[in-house]
This record gives sequence, C-alpha cells and structure tokens, in this order.
Amino acid sequence: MDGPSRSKPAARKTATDRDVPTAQNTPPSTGLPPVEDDDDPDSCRRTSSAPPRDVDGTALPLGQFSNFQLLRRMLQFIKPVRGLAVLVCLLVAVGVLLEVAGVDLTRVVLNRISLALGHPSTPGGASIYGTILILVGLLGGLVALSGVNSFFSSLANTKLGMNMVFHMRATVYDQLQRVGFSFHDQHSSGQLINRALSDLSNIRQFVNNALVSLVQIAAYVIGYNILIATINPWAGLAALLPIPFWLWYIQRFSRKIQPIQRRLMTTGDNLVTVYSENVAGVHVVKACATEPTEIKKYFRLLDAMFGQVLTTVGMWANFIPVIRGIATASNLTLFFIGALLAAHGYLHPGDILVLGVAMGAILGRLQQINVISNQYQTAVVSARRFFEVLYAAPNVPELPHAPPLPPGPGLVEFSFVTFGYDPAKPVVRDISFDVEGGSVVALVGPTGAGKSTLMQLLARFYDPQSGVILIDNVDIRKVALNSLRQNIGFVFQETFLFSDTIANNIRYGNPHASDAQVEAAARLAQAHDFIMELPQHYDTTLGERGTTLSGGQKQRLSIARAIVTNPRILVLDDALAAVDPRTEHLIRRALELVLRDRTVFIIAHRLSTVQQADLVIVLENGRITEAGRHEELMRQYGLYREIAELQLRG
Amino acid sequence: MLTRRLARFFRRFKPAAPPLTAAVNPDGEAAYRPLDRQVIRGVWGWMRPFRKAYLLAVVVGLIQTLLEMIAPRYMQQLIDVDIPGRQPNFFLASAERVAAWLRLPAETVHPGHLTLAVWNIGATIAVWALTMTAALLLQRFQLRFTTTIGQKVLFNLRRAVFRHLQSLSMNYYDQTKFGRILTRGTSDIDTMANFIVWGLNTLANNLMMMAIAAGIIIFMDWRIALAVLWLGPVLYVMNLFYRRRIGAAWRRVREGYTRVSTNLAENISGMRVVAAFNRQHENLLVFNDLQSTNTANNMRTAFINGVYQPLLSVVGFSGKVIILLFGAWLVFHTAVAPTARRFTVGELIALYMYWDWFMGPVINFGNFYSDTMMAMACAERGQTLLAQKPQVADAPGAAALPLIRGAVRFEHVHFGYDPAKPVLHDIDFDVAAGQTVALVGHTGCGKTTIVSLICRFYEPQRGRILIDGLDLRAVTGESLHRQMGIVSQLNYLFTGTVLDNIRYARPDATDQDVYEAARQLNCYDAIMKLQHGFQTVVTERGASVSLGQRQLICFTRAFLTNPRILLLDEATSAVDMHTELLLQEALAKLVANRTTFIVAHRLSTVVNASLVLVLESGRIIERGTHHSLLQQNGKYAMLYREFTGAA
Repeated sequence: MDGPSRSKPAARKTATDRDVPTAQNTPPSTGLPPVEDDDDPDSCRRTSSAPPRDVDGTALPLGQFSNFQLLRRMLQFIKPVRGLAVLVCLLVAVGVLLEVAGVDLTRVVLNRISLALGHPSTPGGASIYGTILILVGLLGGLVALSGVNSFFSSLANTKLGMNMVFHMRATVYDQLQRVGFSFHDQHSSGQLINRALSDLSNIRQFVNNALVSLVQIAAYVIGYNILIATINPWAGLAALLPIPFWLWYIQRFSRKIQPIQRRLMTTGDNLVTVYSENVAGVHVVKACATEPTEIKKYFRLLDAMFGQVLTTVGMWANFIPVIRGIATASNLTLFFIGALLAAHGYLHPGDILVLGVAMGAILGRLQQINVISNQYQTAVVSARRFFEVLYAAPNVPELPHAPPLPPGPGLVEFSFVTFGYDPAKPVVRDISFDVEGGSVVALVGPTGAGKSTLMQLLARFYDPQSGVILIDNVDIRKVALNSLRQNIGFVFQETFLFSDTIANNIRYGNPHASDAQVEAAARLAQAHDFIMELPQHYDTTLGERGTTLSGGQKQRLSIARAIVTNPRILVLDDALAAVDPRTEHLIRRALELVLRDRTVFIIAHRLSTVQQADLVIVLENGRITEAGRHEELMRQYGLYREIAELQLRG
Repeated sequence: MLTRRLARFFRRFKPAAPPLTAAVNPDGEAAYRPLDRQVIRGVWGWMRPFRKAYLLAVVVGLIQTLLEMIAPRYMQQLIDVDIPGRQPNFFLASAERVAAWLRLPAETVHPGHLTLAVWNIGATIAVWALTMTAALLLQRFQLRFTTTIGQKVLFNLRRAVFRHLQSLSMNYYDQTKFGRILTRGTSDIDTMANFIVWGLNTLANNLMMMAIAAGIIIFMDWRIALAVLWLGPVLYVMNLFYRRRIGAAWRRVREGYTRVSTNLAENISGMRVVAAFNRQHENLLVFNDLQSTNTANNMRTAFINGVYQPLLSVVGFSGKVIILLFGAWLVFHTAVAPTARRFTVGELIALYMYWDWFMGPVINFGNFYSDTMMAMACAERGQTLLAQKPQVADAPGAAALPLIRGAVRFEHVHFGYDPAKPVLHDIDFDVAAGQTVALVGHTGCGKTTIVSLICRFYEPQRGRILIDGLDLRAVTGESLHRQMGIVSQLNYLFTGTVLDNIRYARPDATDQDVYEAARQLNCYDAIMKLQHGFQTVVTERGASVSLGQRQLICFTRAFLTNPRILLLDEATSAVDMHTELLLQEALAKLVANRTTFIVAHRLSTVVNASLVLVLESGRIIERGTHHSLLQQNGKYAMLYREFTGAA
C-alpha cells in the first residue's frame, strides 16, 4: 500500500542521507532503489523487473514495429511536454551540482582543520576558526539552495509525469470509445483495461524515468568523478575501474532472476485464481463436496510457490553481499590509495573521506541503470500492446461531412445483407426484408441464428460485407453515426448499467431529460415501483459499492434508458428474458401505447411476446426461413410451429 | 494569528488518535489499526514455532551490525595514527607483541624497505577488509535464514486461511463481500508478509544501529553527543508529521486514481452502450475532469514532498554542521591545552560518519510505524476470519449417509438467512423417492431457499429435513453432497477445459464417461459446437462460452455424478427454446428413477411434474399436479395463463 509513499524518501536516501555504502543494511526488497512514481499507485506493487502480462497471460504480438520504432514512438509522448522536460532535466542537473559542491565544501572544511593543526604558525587555530565558520556558512547556503532546488524539481517532475499521463490517457480513452465493436469483440475488456492502465503506466514510467534518471546518472557520474579527479587524478582513474564490473554483475543478476520472478508471478496469479474461484464458486465446491480436493490443489500450488520463493531468496542472499562486497572493495582500494598519498603529503584527511562518499554516490546511482533497462524491457512489451490499441482503425468509418438522418416514419429495409464477424464465416446471409414504419417485428430462432447480429447491423455497430440497409430509404452508411444511433433505441441482451444514480442511468442517452421525463420512462418500463422502494429512489447509486439490482430490474432500467431518447426505432434484444411473465406483459402493454408510431424489433424466446407482432421473422443458420404473422406461420409446418406447439402443449 | 497557527502546529504533535486509522482500503475496511495487545498476541502465535530461529537471526544481525559499525573507527585510525606513521598502529603493535613472544625482532612485522605509514595503512585496510568479509558472510546467512522463516510463517498462514475458508458455511459467503474475502487471502497476507518477513527484522536492525551509534557517539565525546543527539527526537517527530501528511495526500491520490481507473474500466466494459447512446464526447469530458483532479492530488503530494524532504535533510545536515563546527573547535582547543585529552581530526571524521548511522534509523522508524499499523489491521481481520465458526457443521457423531433412495421430507421448516427475517414459513411436504417436484412462484418467494436447504447450505431455524427418514443434521455433509446433483442459477464454471469442468465432481470420470453423459442429455452436439469442443478453455466470465452453453455444461456436470437427488434451479433459463426441448426430452428419461426438484419460470418444464408446489412469500399456497391445479383455477392457473400469453 505504501509503495509509492516510501519510494521517494528511499530514493533520496541513497543520494543524501546515506552516502556511505558500507553503512547500508538493506533488505533484498529494496536492494535496487525503487522507482519514483507519482501516479498509478497500484503499479508500484509490482517489482520493476516484472514483465507486463496480459489477463490471459499471453502477449498479443504487433509484429510490424521494431523495438527501435517502438522506442521512437514512445519518446514522442514527450513532445507535448518538452519545455517542462528540459526544465526538469536542468533542475536535476543543478541539484546534483549543488550536492557535489556541498561534498566538496565539507572536504575543504575538514582539510582546513587538519591543515591548521599541522601548521606551526597557527597553533591555536584562532584565525582559521573564522575561515571555517565562513565555509560552514557557505555550506549552509548551499544546502538551502539545494532545498529550494529540490522543491521545484519535485513539483516540476510530478507535473511532467502528470501532464504526460493525462495526455496519453485521454488519447487512448477516446480511441477506445470510437474504435468500434469489432475491436472490442477481439479483446476482452480486461485486456483493454490493462492496456489503458498498466501498459500506459509502464510506458510513461519508462519515458519519464529514462529522461530524468539518465540525466541524473550522467550528472552524478561526471560530477563526482570530476571531484575525485581534482583531488587526485590517479584516484579518479581508480574510481572508474569498478564501474564496468559493477554494471555487469547487476545486469547478470537481473537476467538470472527475471525468469524466476516471472514464474513466481505466474504461480502467484494461479494461486489467486484458485482462491477467488473457490470464493466465487463456493456453492459448487460445497455442492460437489470437493473441499478436500480444492485444499489439496491450493496447497500444491503453495508448495510450488514456496520453492520458487526460496530460490529467489537464495539468489538475493547471494547477490546483496557480493554487490556490497564490490562496493566495499572499491571503497577500501580508494581509501588505501588515498591514505598512501596522504602519508606522502599529497592528500588530507577530508579528501580520503570524500573519496568514499563519492565512490558510494557513483555506484549507488549506477544501480539505476539497471532499473531503466528493466523498465525499457517492460515498456517495449507494453508499447507493442498499447500502440495496437492506439493505431487500430475504426471498423465503421464515417463519411466526411455525412448529413444527419432525415426525419421519417421509421421504415427499415434490409436488402441482400451478408455479414460475418470473420468475413470468411458469414453469420447472416442474403437477408432481405422490409418493415413498415410503426410496426412490431419479432425475430425468432435458435441461439446463434444471427438475430442479435442483424440488429447490430441496423445500428451500424458493424458494416455488412455486402448488401445495403436503409432507414426511411436512406443508406445508413451515408449518414452521420451520431444521428443514426440517436434514432435507434437499443436494449442489449446483456444489461450494462453504470455505477451512477438511477436517474443518471436512465437519462444516459439524453443527458438533458427532465426528472419528469425520467420518471415517465421508468413508469413505462415498469421500473418506477421498485425504484421507489429503494432507499434514495431515483438518486440511489448503483454498482459495486451501491445497491445491487436483480437481472429483471436491470433490464427494466435499460428499457427506460432506451425510451428516454425517444427513438424512431426501438430494438429489444432479448431484453425481457429475466423479467417474469406478468411484468413482461405489463411492459408490452405500456410500450404499445407509447410506441404506437415507432418501429420495434423484439428478439424473444417466449411465444407470448411473439404472438402479437406484426411480422415474425424466423432465422435459422443465418437465413430467413419463414416470415409472416403468427397465424400465417402456424399454418405452415416449419420450425416456428414446432416451437410454438411445444411451448403451448400443456 | 501567529500564536493560533503555532498552537495548531503544536497540537499536531499530541499523541491523539492518528488520522491514519481513518483510512480505508478499497473494500471500505480500515487500512490501519493502532497496536493492540490481543492482535499482537495473535501474530506472536503464528511466529511462536519459530521463536528460536528468530532469536538466532536477531543475534546474527546484531553481530553483523556491530562488525559493520567499526568502519568509522578504522577511518579514525587511518587518519590519526596510520598516515602520520609515527608509531605502529594497534594491529602492528599487537603483531609486534606476538613477534616478541615468539622472540622475533619487530622488523619481521614491518620490514624497513617500506615506511611505517605504509605498513600501518596496509594493516588497517586488510583488517577492515576482513571485518567486512565476515560481516557480508553473516549478512548472507541472515538474509537467507530470516527470510525463510518469515516465508514459512506466511505460507502457514496462507494454508490456514484457505483451509478455514473451505470449512465455513454459505452464510459467511452471503454476508461477506466477495472483494473482502479475496483480500483476506491475498493482499492482507502480503501486507503482513512485509511486516513479518522484513518489518521486524528491519526494526531490530535499526534499533541496534541507532542505539550503537548513539552509544559510540556518547562514548567518543559526551560534549558533542549532548550537542547533536537531541536532533534525533526532533527529526523523528518531524518525520512522523511528514508521514502523516504525505500519507493523507497519498490516500487522496489513490482514491482519485481509483476513480480514474474505474471510470475507464466501466466505459470499456460498457462500450456498446456508450456507442449506442452517443456518449463519447461527454464521457471524455468527465474522464478528463477526473484526470485533472488526479493531477491536482499528485501535485499536492509533490508539494508536501518538496517542502518536507529538504526540511528533513536540513535537520540531518545541521547535525553534521554542529559536529563539524564543535569538533573543529575541540580539535583546536585541545591541541593547545596540553592537560586535556587530544580530540583528533580522525575522531571528528568518525563522529561525522556515525551521525549517518544514527539518523538513518530515525527516519526509518517513521516508515515502520505506519507499516506496523497497516499490518495490525490485516492481522486483526485475519484473526477474525480464523475465529469464525462454521454455521453448518457436521454434528459430533455424524454418520455417513448410506446409499439413499431419495425420499425427501420437510417437517414444518422455518428459515431466514437472518433469523429475524424469516424467508420460509412452515414448509411441510413429503416427496417419495423418484418423484419430480416443481417449485413455482414469483421471484423472491423462496424457491431457491428450499433448494439450498435440501443441499444443507443452511440449517433451518425450526423444523427438520429428512432424507430417507434420516435427519440431515445427523449425517456428514460430504456423504450427502456426493449423492446430489445441483444445477444452480449461477451456473459457475472454473477456469479450465469444458471437459474438466464437467468432471469436476467426479475427477475419476474418463473422457468417454463425459461424452456419454453429454449424449444422454442431448447436449453433446451443442458442446461440440464450441470452438474446441470439449477442450474449449472456459475463462472466468469469458466470452468463449455463452450463457446457454454454460448452463448445458453445468447440467452435464450435475448429471455425471449419477445423483440420487437432482436439483435444477432455473437450470435452462438462458438456453434457447430448441435446445431446451431437446434437453427436456432427455430429462424425461433421466429423472425417471431419481428424486428431482425443479425451479422454473417457464412453466413448460413443470407440466410433467408429479408434484407442483406453488409458493408465495415463503409459504406453500397450493400443491398438486399440473392438471389438478389448473382445475382449482387458483394462483397456479393464473401463472400458467400469464405464461402462455392467454391472458
């Protein structure tokens, strides 16, 4: 929970409070400094070396981009905030500069003290004491300055990250809203949510961090190395020696531990899956009396996970002493060189101390390179998936300057419409029919016959591969999508309500609807009575933290939602399945009154609903096999009659 | 004005209830909890089996810390003794003594071709290196050892929670939100893991570090110690204050972020509705509003960090300044006063280094405090869960139910999920083995509850339920469930193939058994129509299997165990008419010699039942066969007319 809140001080700590690496006593979890992150608190729970995973565990490849292209595209997210980015880099560099200057000043103070002692002319050091006072005052000024600097760089860096993420999120959000149904069919919503949240956050973290941290690392390495080199060029050279070894070892370790951590994470996911399934499906577990089996299954996973945990623990326990050993060895070498030089009068005590501080600071910062390289690997995978969303073409392109749908009675005509979600496998074939304005049409047929598909074509959620759909004699592809959908009230088979108040849910398609209109619609949909029984009536909030409704109640709300938009054509896609027969009867009665002059399409299983339609269309395997009024169809010996008789037989 | 501000400022330091405890986690539960003796005792109970190991770990940690903390003293020796090279340092002197004891000349210890300074420096660095090697080896041991113990505690806890959850009855699951139960076994335990695996270890280490550093500073020079150590408490309080403010700010960030992500998630899931109702533009405005709040929240944390971080480092830094100035004065002062003990530059540098050892832990304690409270909240919830008693449990001497015939009898059963609100009143009926019973009535009349009672998911408050004359309470749950097949409204499937789901209750069934069962139910073809037939992988709420198909799979699953009592609760509501007909034809044969309870909206299923119970508000208001009830022309006849649309 407090990952992010801890990361800041911890990251700073490596820089200022604890510059002596031999004084570190870090547990493995913070062996690598955590990434600074201002947003997306959840992302911090994952270790930075974890590769992003999809909901179903697979990464969908987007083959057309090379890693380099991806990198270039990722870096483009900086463009809208480039001024701020330059500012942040400057502030960071200045901060490092101030820090180095502070360390140098400390060195000078210590040197002065020991120098004054060795100097016979100033035995009491009285005069030198004044100089030291001034130097320390200067040091205080530096610290104050670096405090001001760190205040502004904290603000600027957060602003940079937030602006970037704002822009990216708004873009992907709008893209997801407009990309069309086909795209959403191909990806589960969990996948897409992951794309827009964690993948986006991975990219942003990398871009932001790559920018700022690289500047910071460069400033640290250069700044401190110059400091060491000014003390003594040989020491400066010696300080460079451990760097390649250090980087190599960290890289090697991270390469070795990554696959194990990935496996650990998969096991962890499986564990959570088993756990949550046992909670969600507890009635099945109880009914089948499989508790012991489930416990065994869970424990088996736990054992596997424990083994993996021990492996990583062992690896960390080996890694940390070695990496600290390298740091200690380089420090001691520097101390050795420094002390030898001091013994011959080339260096002073303060210089030796600062050698250690500088070495520690350089190595500590260089650990960050590994973080960036891990972030890069993560970001490349994420970017592939993210751009897949961002660059997806909408599946129902709108003509430029398409006019709105002209007013009319609601005539609907399908002529030779063929469509398949996969063009090679048509779901509906050669569908032709026309419907008078204001009539009620029932679509009947077995599951998978293509009833819902037909209706989705009507609202242009998809475009047919061939054939034309006309509303009031206008091809629906030639009109503005907005106006087309405004004229069609759609009640989906799977009810979806937003976690908002009931009133807002009902006026979802018509935000300007008055309370009276909302209530009227609710009454028509037979929802008013149960709404009034809820604690806050129309202001009751629905959703996870709010009230939960039964399936039938939700369906009635979604009918009300469709009615409020006052559509020319109403589509009820099996919208009454969860409503009990009596309520359904009432709803139909009510609708008949209001929708007298609207065209209504009903998809239903219940015969009672179908009987009263002006036209019954029977679909089988994507084709119309029968069409006509109930009485006419009962006279034929087709599927309709078979089904009807079975339902009526009693 | 200023005084009031100051008063407000200082009031914040009062040990009043910390605002942390007001925080809640995403499930609306307290995220923090003050220390509580009972909870600590509970946590200790989990750690108790490993107490000796913990003790060892602490001792090893102490030794390691001590070894590492010699470093500034080496530095001191390097500067004060080694570099001037006037006399052999402690190590060389000791070596000389050993040499003298062995009657070797002192020259063997530091031959004259190198100056004494070089030998001194070499000796110090070598011993320093040896010390660090030992410390690092100890650290390796400690890391491995302590972490392993912590993980063992943790995994024991995971096992206990899961095992206990499995033993709890349905009422717990009804009363507890899914998200909360999930949290118990996942993030709660992870938070505690942080505490048990790292927190305690870090606490012990930091305590030792700070105490040792303070001790050394006092021991080295009590005047400087007096001058700087008071900064410790000041820093601690400031840090605490900072943690509180930043904690509150982060909480806001988290809440705001949750709103951003929920909005996004909801719009993705509801994308069809968004498109159908033309809401793209409005939604983007709403979303960007949420994002702006998110930005503002983040900027607030940046502001707090920007203010406090430099302040904290200034306090830490002023310690160094004091040490430098005071130390410098002491160095000069003692240099000219021959009576006083000399305060050396090396001592000054060592003190300067020890200051970091003292300040680091002080900062860490602030973090540790909030971690502890968070772990306390989780531990308390875990303990509450583990203390839950299952409501329905096998009676002490419960016997296994023998192979039953399947007669079911309700004797004046009263039941309510909440005993104060009865759902069923005086349900009394008798079903002979092999009969088919239909439960009919409007939503909420208690049909599903009757089915749940037969399953013994709950126990009635009054009355008895008998199967073959045996009271349900006197038999073991497992033997009962083995002879029952249930298809519930929820038609839950587990992640895995269709095949595995069907043989869920009978894992030993062969593929052929499964196919055979599906064929007998006439749903073999329907399942084969799935993308990969029986090998299709069902994902949770995944789109790969439609609602109707899920029901068919559940149906086959229940049937595969060849149950004596079959309970069908709205088992075919989402199956299309055609498939339902096929299913019913099959069922007609299959229910022939087992007791079957059917709950259905669609009354076409009911027609052939040997007994129809019509329920209203938890009471049986009519009973009989389809035909006799139609003749009665009561509630059932009305329902039936509504259903057939003849009204």
